[in-house]
Amino acid sequence: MEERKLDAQESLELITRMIRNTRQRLERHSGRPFLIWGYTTVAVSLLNYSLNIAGADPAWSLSWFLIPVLGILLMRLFPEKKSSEPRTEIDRIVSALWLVCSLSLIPIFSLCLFHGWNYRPSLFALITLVMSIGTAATGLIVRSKIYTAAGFLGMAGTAAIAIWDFYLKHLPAPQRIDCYMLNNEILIFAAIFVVMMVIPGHIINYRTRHEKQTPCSRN
Amino acid sequence: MFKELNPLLHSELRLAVMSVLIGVESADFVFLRQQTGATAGNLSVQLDKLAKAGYIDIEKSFRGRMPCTVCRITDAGRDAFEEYVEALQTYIKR
Repeated sequence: MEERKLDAQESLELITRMIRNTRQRLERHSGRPFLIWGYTTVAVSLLNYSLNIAGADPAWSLSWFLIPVLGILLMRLFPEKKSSEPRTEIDRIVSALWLVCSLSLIPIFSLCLFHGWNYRPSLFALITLVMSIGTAATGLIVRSKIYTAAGFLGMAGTAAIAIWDFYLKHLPAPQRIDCYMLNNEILIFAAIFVVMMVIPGHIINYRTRHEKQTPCSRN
Repeated sequence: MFKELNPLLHSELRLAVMSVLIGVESADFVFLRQQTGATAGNLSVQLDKLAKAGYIDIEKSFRGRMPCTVCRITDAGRDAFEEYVEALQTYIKR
């Protein structure tokens, strides 16, 4: 490209072409955080499930706090590969969305500290609701059908947890909530994260790798 | 009546750079070179001209041991670009 003068039509065509080229980046490279947070949540859920099976008291379990600790650690250990791709307005909006979602999880996680006084497993539903809203909104912003569908599936899973929770709370007195019932909720929680974050993360990463191998396919 | 086109923007490479930067928060030198297909020397000269006019901010740093030049459009640059497109429309409409 040289420093030559353009006519009006050429100028408009150039502007249109450049803007279109920079808008190509939508869902690419977004699989990594979904995989890190998805796998971390599933692993910690299964750890808690195992502890409960082994007879640990779930009411005062602090092991759930491993999710933010391990998640942040893994995000730092496996940072996004530096590339020359620009930071777009879409990147900024998605970052802001997840910042809000993460901040809203702080009071929810803090409530876990009070589980010992009054065990309220509906916190699982609150966490999956926040994460599924974040996932669905990300999908709609970056125009990714996978993330959008995963987010809405997560919301359906949230409803499943809420209904299960409602069922547990309204059991007649002789059928008191037992450990087995509460553990099932942990498994539903982990399954939601597999569907909502792990599987879509792998699909997006696969697509990104495939696109890199065939760069002309976008033209 | 034709509006006068901003001579600083009415050049192929500088207009391409501004068109890229208008759609992103920031972009580095490598990306701008890829998008415009310009040589490093020519792009560098044109970026300096845009920076001197106050249309873009250039931030030079290091990414590891590699130098990294990041450019972002300023408010003045955004206004100038909008005026340029408005002026262009007067030519197209006739």
